[in-house]
Amino acid sequence: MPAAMPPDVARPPRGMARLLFGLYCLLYGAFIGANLVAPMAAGTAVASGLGLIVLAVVFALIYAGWGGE
Amino acid sequence: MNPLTVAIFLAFVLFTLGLSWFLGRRARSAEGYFAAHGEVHWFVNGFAFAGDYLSAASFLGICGMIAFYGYDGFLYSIGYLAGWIVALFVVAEPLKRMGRFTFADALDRRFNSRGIKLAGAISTLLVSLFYLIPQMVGAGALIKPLLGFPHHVGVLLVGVVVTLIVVTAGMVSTTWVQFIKGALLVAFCALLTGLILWRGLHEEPQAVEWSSPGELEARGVEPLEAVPDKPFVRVRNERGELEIWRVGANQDELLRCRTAAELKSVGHVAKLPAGDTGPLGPLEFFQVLDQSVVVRWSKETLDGTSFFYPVLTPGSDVLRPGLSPTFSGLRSEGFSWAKVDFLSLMLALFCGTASLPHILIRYYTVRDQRAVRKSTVVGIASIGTFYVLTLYLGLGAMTCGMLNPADSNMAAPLLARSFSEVLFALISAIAFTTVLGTVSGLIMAASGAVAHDIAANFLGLQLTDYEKVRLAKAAAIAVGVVAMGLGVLFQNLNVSFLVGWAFNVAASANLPALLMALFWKRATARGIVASILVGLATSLGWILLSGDTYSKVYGLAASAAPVPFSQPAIVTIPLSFVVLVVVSLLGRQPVVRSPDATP
Repeated sequence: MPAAMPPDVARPPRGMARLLFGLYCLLYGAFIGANLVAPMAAGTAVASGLGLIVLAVVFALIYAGWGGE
Repeated sequence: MNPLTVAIFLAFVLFTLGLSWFLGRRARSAEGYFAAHGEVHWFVNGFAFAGDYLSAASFLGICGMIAFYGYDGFLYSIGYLAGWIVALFVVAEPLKRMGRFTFADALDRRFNSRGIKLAGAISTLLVSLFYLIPQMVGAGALIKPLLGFPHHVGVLLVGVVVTLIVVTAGMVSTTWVQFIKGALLVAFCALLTGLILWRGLHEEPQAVEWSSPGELEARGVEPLEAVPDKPFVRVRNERGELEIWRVGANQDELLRCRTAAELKSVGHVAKLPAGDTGPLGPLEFFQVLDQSVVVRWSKETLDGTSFFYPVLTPGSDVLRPGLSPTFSGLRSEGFSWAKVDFLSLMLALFCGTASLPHILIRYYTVRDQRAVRKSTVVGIASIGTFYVLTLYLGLGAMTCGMLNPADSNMAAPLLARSFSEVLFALISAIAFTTVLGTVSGLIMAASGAVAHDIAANFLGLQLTDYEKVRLAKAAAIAVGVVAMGLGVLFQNLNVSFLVGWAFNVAASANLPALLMALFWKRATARGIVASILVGLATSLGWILLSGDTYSKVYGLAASAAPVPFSQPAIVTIPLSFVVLVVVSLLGRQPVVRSPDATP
């Protein structure tokens, strides 16, 4: 936390938020990495692409539920 | 020109303008004009995020790319949505706490630096202009089939209507236009997807005209003439007209090529595993398509004449990455610059969303951080739903039989036309509103940068509330005029491709500065300014020197480009971070807090 700011000015993601953010970054990176190694088969490509979008929505909903004031 | 189409289109435009006029009295102060008094309800703001973000690139560009190249267009959908994770978890709440009207407000909160104010404003203006180009191109692409006017009329129409929206009621009218547009877009895309699944897939074996050298000679046409170094033959038919045929995989097979004038409506399935399907389930749609053969059309030019030739593509090839020229390198073995290009694009999409000024200023329109979080979640849910639907819309367009092979941007409206003219008119009008919503957000961001960041904060002009709003409106008109000019200039480029550039520039110039200003206590004003300027200069320079720009803008050979791949983010984002760290550590200054730093 920057010393010059009040404690609540720049709140980085913590706890569950950090976990969700880190997990999503890993999944997104894995998707890109897998395509760089070898293009996915049709079924895998569709499932993983749709899965990444659905997971983003799920993670956002979890965060909204967890991150009360 | 269909009167019903014109009536629906005019109804949308007049409703939008009427709403702006009605809301005009709520935006007379700077607080109202730039941030809608921070009183927008989180649910409305969430859908307004969708209205702001789901631009012509998302609706027209991605659907068009999927319709022409299958899964490759969907990679953009995945990247665009993933970027919202950065916005939600990292940027949203601190930004709300630290800013007031503009992106530069949040950057400068700790430093009170004129340099940051100016650099933030320049970055906002450039990114907004880059993002405006594809929106205006999309407007021009829509207006031609919808109303029969040429491209530049569509660009002018959007420019004038949007400028009126912004000038009338600033962020208040912009928010409501975006809310209505976002909700309509998601709802009608869901309806279209339902119709695609209900119709199922239809086999059209006659989609491609086949022949053989023996058959052609039997028709009594002139002897075949092979085109040197290309798999085509020329034939003069019974009426004396020139025909071009493509030689198939088997030398005895010939496939008839067509000019754009002959080929108005394409997009067929040549072969299905068990004939016509009838209604399909959401997953069954992909399973059937996976086992089918689709007819796509590619462009070739011989002796100055452009024509299209059919490409029979297995569905399993359509549903995996690497079919388009942009991503074809993914199917190569080992290292290739095309793979680096793909990685760089996906990085730009991931990092770009949270650094787009017109998205960031929407965080100032709600009351508090709780509303910020809730509205972002509503935004992610609605935007995510839309992006899932893009795969169905694009593949539906690919197989709808109404595709125009010469205009990828019209795939989604033409898909609607394959169901009914009324739906075509409605979808086209919604697509037009899509452009209005996004462009109004971009012009708001740009006008705020001029009036608030540059005039009031950087130049220190003592402006009353009224004068500041008036200056912002004048800036909105100027930005609108520039956007119209650029929309005419770049009319032949795919809008999704153009938005990729805007994401690269935003991610390189804004994200490192924003993250470090928010979370790194040793960041200095000079470091922030240097990071923004280096990010801007290097990403813009890289794009201007890239193979894509060489071939698609300058008309030169892509191989002549001095940089090895086209998407700069993988180089310019880290470079911007490094510059910020080095400049900050080398020139530490005491942190000066602005007088109003306490929230």
